[in-house]
Amino acid sequence: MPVIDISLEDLGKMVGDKLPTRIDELEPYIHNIKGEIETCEGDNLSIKLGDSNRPELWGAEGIARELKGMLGVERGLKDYKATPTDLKIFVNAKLEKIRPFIACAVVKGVELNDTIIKQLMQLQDKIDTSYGRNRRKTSIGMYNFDLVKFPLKYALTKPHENAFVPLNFTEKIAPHEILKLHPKGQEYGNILKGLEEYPIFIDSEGKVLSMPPVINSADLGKVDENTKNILVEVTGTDYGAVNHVLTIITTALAERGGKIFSVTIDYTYRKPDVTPNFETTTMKISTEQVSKVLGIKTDADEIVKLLQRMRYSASADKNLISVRIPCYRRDIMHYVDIIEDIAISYGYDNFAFEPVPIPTAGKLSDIEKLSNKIREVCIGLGAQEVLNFTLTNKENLFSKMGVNEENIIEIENPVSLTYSCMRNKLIPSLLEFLSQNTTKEFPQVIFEVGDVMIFDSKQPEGSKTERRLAFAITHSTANFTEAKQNLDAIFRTLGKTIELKDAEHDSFIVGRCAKIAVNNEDIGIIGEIHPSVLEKWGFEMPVIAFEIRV
Amino acid sequence: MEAKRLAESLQDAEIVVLKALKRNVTSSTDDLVAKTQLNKDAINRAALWLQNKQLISVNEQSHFLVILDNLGKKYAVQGLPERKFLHALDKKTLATEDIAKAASLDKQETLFSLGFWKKKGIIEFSDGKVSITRENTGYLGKKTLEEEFIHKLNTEGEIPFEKLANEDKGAFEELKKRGLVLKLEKKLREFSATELGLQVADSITSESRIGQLTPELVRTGAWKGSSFRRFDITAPVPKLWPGKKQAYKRFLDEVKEELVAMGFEEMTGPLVEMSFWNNDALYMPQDHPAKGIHDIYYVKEPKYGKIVNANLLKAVKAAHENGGKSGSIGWQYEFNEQEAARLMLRSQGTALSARMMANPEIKNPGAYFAIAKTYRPDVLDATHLIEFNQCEGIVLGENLNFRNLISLLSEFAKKITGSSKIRLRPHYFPYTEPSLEADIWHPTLKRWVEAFGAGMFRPEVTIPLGVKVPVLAWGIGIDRLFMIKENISDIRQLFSQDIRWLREAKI
Repeated sequence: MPVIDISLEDLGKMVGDKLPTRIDELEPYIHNIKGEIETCEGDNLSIKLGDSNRPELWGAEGIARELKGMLGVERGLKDYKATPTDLKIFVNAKLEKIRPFIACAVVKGVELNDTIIKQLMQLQDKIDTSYGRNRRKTSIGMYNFDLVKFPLKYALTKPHENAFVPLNFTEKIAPHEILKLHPKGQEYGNILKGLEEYPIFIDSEGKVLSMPPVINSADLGKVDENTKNILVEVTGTDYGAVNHVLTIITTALAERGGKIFSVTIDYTYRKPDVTPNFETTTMKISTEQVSKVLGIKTDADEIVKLLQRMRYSASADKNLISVRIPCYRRDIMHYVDIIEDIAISYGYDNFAFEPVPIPTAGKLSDIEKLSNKIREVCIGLGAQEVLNFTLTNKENLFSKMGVNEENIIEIENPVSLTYSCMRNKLIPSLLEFLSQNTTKEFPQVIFEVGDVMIFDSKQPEGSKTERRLAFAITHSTANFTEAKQNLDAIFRTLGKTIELKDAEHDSFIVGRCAKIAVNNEDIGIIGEIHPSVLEKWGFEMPVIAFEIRV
Repeated sequence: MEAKRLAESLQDAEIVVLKALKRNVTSSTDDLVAKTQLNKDAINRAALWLQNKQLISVNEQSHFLVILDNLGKKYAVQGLPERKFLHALDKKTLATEDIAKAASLDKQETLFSLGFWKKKGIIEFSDGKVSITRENTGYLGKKTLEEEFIHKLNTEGEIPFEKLANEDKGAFEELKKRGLVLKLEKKLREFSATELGLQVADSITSESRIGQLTPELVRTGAWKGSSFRRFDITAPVPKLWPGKKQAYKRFLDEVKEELVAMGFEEMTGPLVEMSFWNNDALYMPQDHPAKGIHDIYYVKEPKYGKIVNANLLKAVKAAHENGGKSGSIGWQYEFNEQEAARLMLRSQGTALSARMMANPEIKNPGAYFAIAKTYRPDVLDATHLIEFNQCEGIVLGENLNFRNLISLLSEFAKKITGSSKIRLRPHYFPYTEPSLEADIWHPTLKRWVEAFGAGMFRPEVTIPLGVKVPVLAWGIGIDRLFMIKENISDIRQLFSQDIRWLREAKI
């Protein structure tokens, strides 16, 4: 979730006098845009924004627009207009398979200053990273419109042709060198990996504007305080997202007084487009739907007012409300999305509690009930319950247990090798635990009832989660008899008969190890841990253990 | 009174020893052995207990005793080798090896004896043979100082070092050099009763007292008429550690108990989960940022599972692509069925709610919960676990609404902290709308504590899974609440491998 910095003074200029000056008074409004104030130092307010589907809020302009609605400075939907022009962009046919969509607009009349430029750059960066999936889905470019000669070409270039000076460089270099040498090339080059030709954005004089989605040119693609008119371009792989991002950037600049001019996109593989597209959609919602979801009785007129505070335009016809959705909002997929905004506008704190009727009788799952019975007996036997991670490593499971590797569930992207697979047995966890306590008081008697993962190709998930009990004892005279006494006590208490069968297992001493069976089905193992295993874990005391399937 | 209580708490050996000590008389251990018939160890033990109770005083002094060593004991019986050597020469002149043979001396003894007498000028050499000088034949019948001393030691057993006569001192040094005698340090303890001890001794009744109550005493009734020895109830005893629940598991048990009491049924499911249940059924778009390798542990092998229910897959796919039958426009992208089968470690407990909603046996109305183990890639540190628990659940029913949801949260808050005061904040979850987060006002900490995430499941979630009624979904930040309750600052403590911490944890 993006964290953005905004200037309180800048926000105040846009919102006006009604903006609360105290942070604790401002905070509820920030909560209402699903934001949390991270820090507030001097003029700078740092906000974490929780809604990944509302990128228009990742800048001061979008926040100001919402606050104006909630504070009553401005209500309802603001219609944005783009003045038609004959500016044109030709799109190369081969881009259809590479990065098919582009949207473009010109913004004039914004007097850029340091604060505004910072906000623009931040908005661009946050959208590129999060909503644009690190520029793979969408990426934004901004240029000095006055230096660019239309018509423009969104085309392809061979990697060694069309050398240009990328931002923050002083020399011309070819696209393939940019991918190697420029920090942005290194960061985003993987998006172009495997391509024979790279997307390029050039003007009618052959000057390079940018190499989307990697880097702008230092000549044309630099926006600073001297820039009077801005060309905004968005390319990407998702038509809706590309156009949405352009809408967000241009409407944000419109909030700063910018005038928007449209550009025609001339595709060969789809019909021409005129961007930006500020069209709004309309959704109908009934008062019944609202009261069913929210549990409040409100009439249509009040709902209209609540919606206007959230910058919708709405009109009521008896119990049916027509809601026009602002063009910058793409998160409204269902009427419940509108209902949530009604609820926020109503104020979450203004809802009265209404106890939930739960007519059912609660109960634990069968496996949990059985686990609890076993835990009760183990505790009665004087054992301390322990809780270990289910994530572990092969060394603990195999080499330290003196056994051969088996099929287990391994993680493809572990963060550390210590936790790189799921355990398939509990005893290694108990030995790891005991090995941490060799200087503590003895005897030590511990148990764990927990899950292991068993590799099983017959299951839909390729494995199954199995509940197990493991029990371990260590002290100077611990032996098989003591282990068996405890095992026997558990099953006797549960009313089950077990049978022990001779077994050989590399983790245990031969002749002091047995398989545990119930009704002829093997359910576990018991024995004295072999001294060669004890040595590997660093034990000096004998350890006895058993493990059973629950 | 104190004397009487003390008297009643004395063990038998203590009584015997204390009674043996008379006013103004100090007794040694040996004296007490003689008087009490107890062995030295028993007396020393009893004396230590009595001393701890300040009933006797113990005066300990070091004494040095001279005793015969093993070789010395042998020579005391057989005679010293030099004496045997000299006897062999009685009226004879012999070669040394003949002397050795005659006197049964080993080589070392022979050489020593030779040197011994030679130095004193008692014997002489001539033509490689040894004889006693004529003027010294009287030595045959005259005992040396060493012989006198060995004889004396053998008779007396031991002689206090300070009582050695002057002439004995020289012999002692010589014999010590030869390893025939030893100087031994011996601690001599002398006991005397204190004033309190004497009073206690007077308070000791003559009736028989019971120490350990035995089955024999009970069965025969022999305890009647006897008194019971008083135990020192303040004495420290060896520690016992009871078997008990792991501290965090205990807390989770309590939470489960509360939820069951409220009417919730427990849900279960596998730890290795398909993307379908973990994400897709919850209407998270397949390119959602929270599906990256930094947020989910993916399974190496097998990579894909099998989605058994084809109709379900179709319905979820439709919800993503165009809303399906949910009344939504959907995410509007092409849903990848292969991707839906990708296997991962469950990253959110909500997967269990998705499974439950798709279960044809789900009750309507119904209430379900799970304390679900979930996994997130991270570096384990004081604030991050890689596997942790999420407590969450659902309530479904025809007429449930947002007010029921917040009411439910306030009820949880009351069960957890005793305060039902909550603060609601709008929030975003991909699978609920409306959504919120809620903080509890913690009455003891006197601050807001982030505690809940909740919402009403989106129709894009419920309709494809076959649920046609509103579903309230809630989650409790259970790990955090436990840490606050137990005042734990390092989250790794929840999985502590320190047996001492677990043993000492209060319940």
